[in-house]
Amino acid sequence: MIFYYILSLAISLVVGFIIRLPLKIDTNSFKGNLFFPTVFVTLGLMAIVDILFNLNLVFSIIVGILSPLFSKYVDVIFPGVSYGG
Amino acid sequence: MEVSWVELLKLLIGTVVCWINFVLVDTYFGLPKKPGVLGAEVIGKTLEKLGGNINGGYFMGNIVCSPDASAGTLMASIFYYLIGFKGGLVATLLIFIGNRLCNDPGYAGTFGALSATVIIHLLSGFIEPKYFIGGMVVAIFTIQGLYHVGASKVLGYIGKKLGMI
Repeated sequence: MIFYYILSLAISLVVGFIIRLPLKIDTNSFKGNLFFPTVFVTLGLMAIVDILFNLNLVFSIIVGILSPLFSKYVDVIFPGVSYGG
Repeated sequence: MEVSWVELLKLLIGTVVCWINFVLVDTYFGLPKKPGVLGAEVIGKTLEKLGGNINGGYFMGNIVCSPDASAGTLMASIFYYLIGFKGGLVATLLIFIGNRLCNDPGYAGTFGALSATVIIHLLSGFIEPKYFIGGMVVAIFTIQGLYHVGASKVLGYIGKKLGMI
């Protein structure tokens, strides 16, 4: 079963590289990068799929494509708030 | 109900492991450096007025205002107790979403939850996950419940020692 986790992680990193997620990690920024939160979203979604259904190749590919897209637009989905000075 | 010494020892080890995990992860990701939200700033300044350390106060304020590695460790141990290693991964995802809802980039919480899951998995042969749940409650009590001024000084000292302030 661990094979599917690794497979979807690899797919998500490749897709993230193709859609040009930034490589640099900035811990103060709300923008996503190639590793954060892509890795955590992929593992978390795969775990949810594993618990609810069963893991297979199709789910691995779907999660592997969805999580870098989520990572790309994470600052739009969950924007940070600035307190006007 | 009888309390065995083995159980107490396991709880104590769980407390120490959780305390070290969340304090180190939170300090590394810069919780003592600056307040993430206004509430954390108020808590930090109040603690400084009472005679504590302002950076330790920011640390404690950030813990209150957003689910950082402390909440990550607690949630990871609960989820590990319920559904095993997969549960820890789900907890990491939920902590990330919770962090973002609380105006926090989310590095401290997610890394804390993942490191807690890995540590609990490695130690699960000796100490069952339930001791980590109790241990984390005790650990967070020593920071947020026992003596705030002293706790802020300890956290400020650790932050300075690690060179994060």
